Amino acid sequence: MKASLPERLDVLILALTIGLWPDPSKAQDIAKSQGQAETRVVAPLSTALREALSFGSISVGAGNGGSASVSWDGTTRFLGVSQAHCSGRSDCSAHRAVFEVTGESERTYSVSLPRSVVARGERTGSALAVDSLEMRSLNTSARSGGRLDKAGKDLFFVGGSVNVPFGTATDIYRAELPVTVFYN
Amino acid sequence: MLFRQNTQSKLWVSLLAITLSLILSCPALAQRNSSKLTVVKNKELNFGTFMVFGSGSRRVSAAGAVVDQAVVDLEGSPASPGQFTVVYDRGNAAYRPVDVTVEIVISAPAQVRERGVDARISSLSTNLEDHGQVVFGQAITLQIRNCRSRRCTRSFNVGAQLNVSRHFGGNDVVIPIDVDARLVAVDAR
Repeated sequence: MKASLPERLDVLILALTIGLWPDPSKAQDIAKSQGQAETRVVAPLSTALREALSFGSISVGAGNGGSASVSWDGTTRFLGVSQAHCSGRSDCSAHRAVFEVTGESERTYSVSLPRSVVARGERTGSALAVDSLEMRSLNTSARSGGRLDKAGKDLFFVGGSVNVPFGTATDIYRAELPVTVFYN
Repeated sequence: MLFRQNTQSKLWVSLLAITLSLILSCPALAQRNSSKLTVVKNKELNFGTFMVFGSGSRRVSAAGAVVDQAVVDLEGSPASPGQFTVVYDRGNAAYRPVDVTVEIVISAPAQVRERGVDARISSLSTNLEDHGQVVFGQAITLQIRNCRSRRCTRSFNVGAQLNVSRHFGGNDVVIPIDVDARLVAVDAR
């Protein structure tokens, strides 16, 4: 005798079918995601001259020329010229240039200096070449830039050399030194 | 004979009951028809790092092109569009090809002030066809055509313009961008 299906099989099949039928309540048809737009806005660099580069009061000996150098670290060197004895720190004495830089903390910056500039005598208009311009930052030892500290500040120093040929007229010589400072 | 027939009937009933219990107790099978729509953020919309004197703007297109106005680009993470992916999980292993239609809405606060920096985001753009330029809050229709697998995806890029006014200092600016998606239709091909 063959086994027959139970009479309640149709009920079971129905139950099974309902169990597997798509359940609309389980469908998730909405979704949400959050992203963001982000940027870093940096304040511009600000540079201020604290002290100008000065070679002080110098004189050349009779019959020859000479040169005066001020290093970025403040050391001075005079060849063939004599330096005036100055009382205290004044325009009479030689000193490096000092610039103060402010901007975003911990950011590096570059400094661009000309290879040389020409100083002109205020009275005579005579020219003197100022060259070997170089800089160093207080916070780094890089040769062409610096790094702002946590407070967003740094100092950098500029030195150079002036060549004084034989026969240079007595005068006060001044030059404009263009310094460009920019973020990296 | 009657005794044997009753025994076999009980056996059939027991087998079916056990099968039914197994099917309903198995989570994978119990939820096999639970379709699910999700949106995944792949990449933030990044306007990069720039310096601005007073006010300026940077536009990053959905393709990644950058246009600056009165800002200076600086070292840092490069500007790039954001990217999201819409994922449709049909909830079962059927491979009947379908076209999935999803409506998405992108929204963001109009203005954010972070210390001394005001930022406004505008000129929303996407790389979806017919929706190159859109506005925040606009419904955008996105289609996943010929979906033949259980999970089908569609990614899209988001670009925008950021207008910045700097009153003092500088700052990191973060503007939240919400993407809401709604399943509109699943049509058999």
